[in-house]
Amino acid sequence: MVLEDSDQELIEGCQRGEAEAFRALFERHKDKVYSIALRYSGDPAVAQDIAQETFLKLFVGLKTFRADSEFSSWLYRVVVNSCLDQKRKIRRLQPLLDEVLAMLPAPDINAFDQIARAELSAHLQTILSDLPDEQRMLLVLRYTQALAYDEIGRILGVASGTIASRLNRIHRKLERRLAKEKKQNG
Amino acid sequence: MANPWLEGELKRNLRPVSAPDELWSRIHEQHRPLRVRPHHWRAWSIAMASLFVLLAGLVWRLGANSQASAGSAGMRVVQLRRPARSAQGGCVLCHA
Repeated sequence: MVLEDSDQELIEGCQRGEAEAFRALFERHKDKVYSIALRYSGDPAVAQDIAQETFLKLFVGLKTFRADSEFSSWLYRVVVNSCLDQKRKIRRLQPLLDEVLAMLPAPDINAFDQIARAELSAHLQTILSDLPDEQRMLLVLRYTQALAYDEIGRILGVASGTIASRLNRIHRKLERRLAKEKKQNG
Repeated sequence: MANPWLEGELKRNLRPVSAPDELWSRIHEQHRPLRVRPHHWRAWSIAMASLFVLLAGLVWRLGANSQASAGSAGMRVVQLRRPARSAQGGCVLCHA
């Protein structure tokens, strides 16, 4: 795989202490790391802390990184652990209401539908922020990174079948909560 | 399979974003500290442990003192009650 080969070259450069290799590796993976951190924490400042911590751990760990290991899985594990380390401090997913409102309008739906959908999206944000940390991380890996079940399983250390059933349970939970919110709000 | 609306909303709400430009400088200048957050639990646990040690010490000292005073009082009573006899069997008080 070309990307993985490139990663390998950069890792070797990092192991030789080449500053450009560090920078290039950072540039290659910064969006991925920051996106996971932001979607998990919901707070840009906390996300920067997580990303900073992740890259520092990464650069220290690269010295002993074995060439036969898969870099992307290791990277994900470092981000996930950095996020979970912050779990005591993180309580809210990023409030994206304004962005959601900007995105929702579609030419085939009327204004009433737009408002209703925006309200549901806002509720979804609240519900996501209330999810347990592990469940929220599962959603982030699935929907932010579009990872396959077996890749998520490798990162979290569980079988892909377990990931599928957990995601299914989370979906049902979200649907129930959204239906309840909808009912309460008439 | 989740309903399509929920899938769509999850994808939209959790979509990837670009990292801010200042992230590299934060990492590059490693001296820039992470935001300091209060560790209330740590301060409380240290305070509680110190209090526990103090109380345990106090209880131990009080216990040791009361045992010592009870012991010496008991010895005095025993000495007073014991017949004062010499090694030869005579009363040392009467046959000094």
